[in-house]
Amino acid sequence: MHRTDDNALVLQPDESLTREQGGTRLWFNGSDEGQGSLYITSQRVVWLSSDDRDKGMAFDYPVIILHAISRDPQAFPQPCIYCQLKADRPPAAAAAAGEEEEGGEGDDFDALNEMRFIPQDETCLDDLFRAMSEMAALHPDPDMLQEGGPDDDDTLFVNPHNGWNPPEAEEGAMDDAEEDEDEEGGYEDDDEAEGEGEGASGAEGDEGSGVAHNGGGDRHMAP
Amino acid sequence: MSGSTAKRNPSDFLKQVLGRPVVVKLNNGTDYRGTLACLDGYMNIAMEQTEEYVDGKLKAKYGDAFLRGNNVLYICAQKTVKK
Repeated sequence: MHRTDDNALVLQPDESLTREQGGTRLWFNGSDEGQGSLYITSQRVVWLSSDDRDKGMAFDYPVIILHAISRDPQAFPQPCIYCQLKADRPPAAAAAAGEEEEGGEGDDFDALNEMRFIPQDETCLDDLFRAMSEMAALHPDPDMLQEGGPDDDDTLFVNPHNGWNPPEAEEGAMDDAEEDEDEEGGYEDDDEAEGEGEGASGAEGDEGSGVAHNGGGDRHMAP
Repeated sequence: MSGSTAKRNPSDFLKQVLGRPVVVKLNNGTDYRGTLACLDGYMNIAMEQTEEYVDGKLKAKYGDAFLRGNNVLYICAQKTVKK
């Protein structure tokens, strides 16, 4: 792992450091990797061991399926940032798997890597979580872009207080979509709708219950 | 489609369920139950008081959780908070 003489992370040319957290222990798939420093950059999440200059791990955002604040002592004794990672698989398999609704159910998700970042100072967990959320949101998967992911200026939604603030929803977005009781949801893909288009959602509308699907997009509803 | 009089769409639905209990299912089959805190156009999802269910069993609880949108199969509003 690239690091400077004083053990700091060497950033890539297009990379900026969002957050550094020294004194952070890493657990990876159940094994204690020891103390180190956690770096949340614009491109990666990196952990560098304090004990071994040659030891470190780096993760691009698309492989981090989930990150969360874990404070449940039953899950882990210390509060930490918990991450689930997409298991490595061949690019061909990755390309073939996919965007179809049911496409994810297969052997391609069988293996799952888990890791925990345990900072000595647990008060920074919220900040670490927020930093990771913001950076992750800047790295949509390439296939979602091709598939008609949203433009920067449309959609969505609001939010309360956790600091990750996507753009406000536009009124009138996706007005053409109708309700659909079909369990598979109503994919809407109307050019007039300024909403997120097929890559993002469909819904089953009912007071208090509903479904919004992701992916797929082969089903189009008549307006 | 009981009780719904006006047309509604996915955007309305998603706005409506912000701050409310939802179930999010990932492509790998894992369910996450919690309060929907935030959502973007890629269906990246932030949840609070999240419970992770694998094969219907509670596996873990998280304070805040961020789910990458490309792994999200669907979001579903919880009619009532489970137990």
